[in-house]
Amino acid sequence: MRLPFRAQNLWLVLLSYGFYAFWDWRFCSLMLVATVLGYLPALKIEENLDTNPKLAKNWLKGSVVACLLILGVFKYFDFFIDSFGSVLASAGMTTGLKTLGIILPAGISFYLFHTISYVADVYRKHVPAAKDFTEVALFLAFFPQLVAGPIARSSSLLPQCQKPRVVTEEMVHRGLFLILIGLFRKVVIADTCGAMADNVFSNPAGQNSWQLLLGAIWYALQIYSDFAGYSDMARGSAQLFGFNLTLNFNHPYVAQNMSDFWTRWHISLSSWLKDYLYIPLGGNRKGKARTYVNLMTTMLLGGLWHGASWNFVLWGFIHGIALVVYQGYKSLNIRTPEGAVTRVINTALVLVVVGLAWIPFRCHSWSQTASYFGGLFSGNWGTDFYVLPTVALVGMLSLVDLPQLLGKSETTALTWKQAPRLAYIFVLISLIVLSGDLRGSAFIYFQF
Amino acid sequence: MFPTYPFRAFIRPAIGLLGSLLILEAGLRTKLPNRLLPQPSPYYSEAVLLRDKTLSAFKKNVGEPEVVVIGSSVAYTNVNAEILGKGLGKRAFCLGLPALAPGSVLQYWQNHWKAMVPEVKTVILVLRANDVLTSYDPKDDSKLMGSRIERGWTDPSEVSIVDRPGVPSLRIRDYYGALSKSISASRKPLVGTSFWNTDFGNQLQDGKMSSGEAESIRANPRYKSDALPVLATKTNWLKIVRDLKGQVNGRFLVVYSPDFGGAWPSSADAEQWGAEICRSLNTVGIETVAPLLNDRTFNSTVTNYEDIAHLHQDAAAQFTEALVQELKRTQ
Repeated sequence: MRLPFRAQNLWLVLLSYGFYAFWDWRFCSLMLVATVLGYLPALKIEENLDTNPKLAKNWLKGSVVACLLILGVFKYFDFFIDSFGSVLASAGMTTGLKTLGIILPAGISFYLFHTISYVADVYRKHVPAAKDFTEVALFLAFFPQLVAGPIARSSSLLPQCQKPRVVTEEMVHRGLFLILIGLFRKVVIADTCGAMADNVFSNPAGQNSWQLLLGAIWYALQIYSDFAGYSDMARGSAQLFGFNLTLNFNHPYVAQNMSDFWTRWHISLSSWLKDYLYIPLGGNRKGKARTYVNLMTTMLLGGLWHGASWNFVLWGFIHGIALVVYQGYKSLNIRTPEGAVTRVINTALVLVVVGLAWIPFRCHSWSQTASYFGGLFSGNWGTDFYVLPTVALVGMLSLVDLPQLLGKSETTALTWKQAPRLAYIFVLISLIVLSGDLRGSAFIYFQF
Repeated sequence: MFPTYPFRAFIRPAIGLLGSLLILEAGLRTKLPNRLLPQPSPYYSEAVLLRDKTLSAFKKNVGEPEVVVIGSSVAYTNVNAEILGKGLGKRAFCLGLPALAPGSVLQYWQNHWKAMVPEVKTVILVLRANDVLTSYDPKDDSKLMGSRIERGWTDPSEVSIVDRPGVPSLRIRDYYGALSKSISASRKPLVGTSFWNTDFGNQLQDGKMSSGEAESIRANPRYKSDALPVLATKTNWLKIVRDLKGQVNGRFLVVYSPDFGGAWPSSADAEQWGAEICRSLNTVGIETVAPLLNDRTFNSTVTNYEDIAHLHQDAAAQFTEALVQELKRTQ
């Protein structure tokens, strides 16, 4: 039986809420509130935009503030109370303020950002307000991207909720292949790297510089493979339902500069921050100094988006500084020789900055971060330069990324002749089976 | 009209997946995986993988082991394989693993160790009093076999964690996870300490129990001598050890390892338990040795122990010397 597409939408909404309820059914109501906060204001904004722009703007502000309030309460309340208490305590004062021990709802940062982008896009007339509540509900709750993105833009995903979708054989094959690639990234690379990185990060004081360097490399491999793997699986799953989700990763570890890195890493977040934060702040239109301030502000808030921790702010700070330095260097118009050597050096520089920034991102506290950096730069390199696991894992990563890079398409292997294509798929399946972790492990970005 | 969903587009990938799994299953049934791949999943704990490397190095440098010591942690802390080998004039190696119930020891021997030491002539199983009280349910074997059987003690939550559906005879099931565990375990020589601290498969202890720790050990009421016949017959330890003997081509004997004296209501209880366990084994045709069982000074000296059951390395050396003498006497 084939359902009309509106019934398909309703069915997908129910399935998506069911999917979310598996984690905690109580927070389905929060998602419903987020949907209402998008649906109703959007209608009001559209209704008043031409006749009463001030009222339309107030509806926009109301919706955005409500979303940020929810985010503030569920994600940041305890953090700021804690931080405030610590500051006063360091001055010898006590507050008596207590944290509430609030549970962080899975994917809250993702679906509230969906809501904000939707009302903002309606206000900017980039999309018309949806009249059908189910369409907005599906846009927010569509299960493949619900808990860890990609952060869908209303101009891209909402229209797909508003018309019959066509699923072709090619989409099915592409979708299944993306799921296979994502599973490979997660199971074979991310989980293995995670087991190794955990060992180092759990006791940085007990490791020498070489071990700490490898720990940072393993975590860099883990977080990329974990998140890109999830994004691949989400996009592959969506394809099976006739949806196209935005590309979220485009080989970030071959970026040529920090600016390039942010066009390749978590693309849906970086473009969201650019469109809804950096550009409204003035972007690069108000002079150099203001551009740098805007960059820093965007990256600091981008860091805080990941979680209520000063470590994430430090991560954002490092990226902000790196972007400012790069923009400053670019404005000097210094000519650099072109060629493979330059490209390799550029990539290496980006990897050093990104790799160092991952350290506070992975650490749980300032003291752990300080201990890690202290050990890393202690100069105690040890005598055992055992690198085989790292080489093996980079090799595994190359197995997926290299064909994609060379073929300039993430599903390039599907265009190969039958024998190499089947052999390639067989190798991927075999490695997944042989590497599979019995208990499974959560995706890193579920916590954000 | 609404577009037809192309269900037939799933047919080829499904056939491809099934075909891949069948080819993989067939491939894992050849001898090639033994050479190319790490040990299958039931044996993928880091301790096992690291010891397999130690054993390979032993074989390369010393030769195939002629005597092996098996059992739980008391095997690798209390019997020093280097001293044992020198004393007997044979190549000895220790294969004990942490927290193995007797049933798990049997599974390990059947499925892993036996193939690892093809030329072994003597197998020594180290038992302690608690081993005969383990409520090891044989029906859990299949669940534990498919996973981390080194967790074969009595925590039922572990069983639920490790249980997974599937056909037990599938080789894929055994190899599931082996590769990533092997890669992550291979970082051990680099990050953190190596689990085995001798070239002979031992993890000798250099810590000594303090008098405070010794005082905190209370006499186990189950260790009263008149409780043994009742408790020990409720478990299947004797059958398991008998099954284990049946799996060994060569001499098989059990070494009884005494617990710290403070764990017993009295020294007489301790001695009677040891003697009773040995007697029970003897009645089913299993050779036993109980070095230092009746040495009350040794067993009540706090600094001989690292904790209730594990000896300090100096005491382990003394215990092993006594074992060598017993073995020479009964050869």
